[in-house]
Amino acid sequence: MNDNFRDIFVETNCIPQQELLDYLQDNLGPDDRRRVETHLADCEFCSDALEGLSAITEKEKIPGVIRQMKWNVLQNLRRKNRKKRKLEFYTSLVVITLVILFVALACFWIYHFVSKR
Amino acid sequence: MNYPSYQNLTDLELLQRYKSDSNSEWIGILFDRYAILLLGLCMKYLKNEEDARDSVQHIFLKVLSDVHKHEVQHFKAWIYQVAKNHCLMQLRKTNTRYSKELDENTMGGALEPELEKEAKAEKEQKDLMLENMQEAMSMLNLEQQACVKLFYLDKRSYQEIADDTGYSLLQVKSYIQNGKRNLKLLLEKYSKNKR
Ligand SMILES: [Zn+2]
Repeated sequence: MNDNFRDIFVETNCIPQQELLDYLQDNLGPDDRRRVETHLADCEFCSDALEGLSAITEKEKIPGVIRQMKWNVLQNLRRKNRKKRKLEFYTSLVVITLVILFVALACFWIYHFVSKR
Repeated sequence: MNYPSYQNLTDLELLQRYKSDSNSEWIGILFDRYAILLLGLCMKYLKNEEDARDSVQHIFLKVLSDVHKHEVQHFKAWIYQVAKNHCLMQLRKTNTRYSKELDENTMGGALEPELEKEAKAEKEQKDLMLENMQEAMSMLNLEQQACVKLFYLDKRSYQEIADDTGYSLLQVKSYIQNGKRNLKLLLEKYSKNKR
């Protein structure tokens, strides 16, 4: 009996997208289904997810929905990165201008001081 | 960027790479790993596809912007907690029923050490614990006993167990989950007493 219970302690990886969808639509063979269900007993995240996904009526549209979300998220990130780079560019421009101004002023002051003597 | 070697990077390695070169492709790989889980989780709580979709994007961006602030070690546990709290917060706006659960799940520094401790203790005691299985099983309530036995001993699928017992699929799933959790707790207690 005890050996059969060893499954209780096996830690399995989370279920990839396609397998989760196949499980939802009952497209898995017995071995794969067993693997998924063993993980579900172990992982709140996957088991919550499955519960929510089963409430979606048009499951075949899920991959498309996910692609769209991914596009939005990456687009958002790129926008943020562009903004950040722009900001960095302007900051360095200001710093360089200030340095040049300071050097020019120093030169002028030294020249002025030397020529006076 | 579909080279298999990139798929083998851990979550933390992907984040590290994103931090160092700001290439959003790394985040794309990470997104592929969690998007469907997040979508399902949000659906479970919010029960509305549109809200769930918005939430997934929001949660992901929030996690990315917070990643610099925390020293994350278990990305999965962290994003799960952030997502759950986000959903409960959304619900709280319209409904106070979930406020208690939210309070019990307040996130923060306590999460990380707890997880590590758990993992360590588990590994140490597995064999010791199996000895007391029979006794522990008898401590479970009847529903949990039946479902745990059918699943682990007879290797039946959730659907078969549901058909056999007359419980719904959700009930079967939660009996197995809770039964398993209780078993672990009981076994841990036994093995501590024995040592
Ligand atoms: Zn999982």
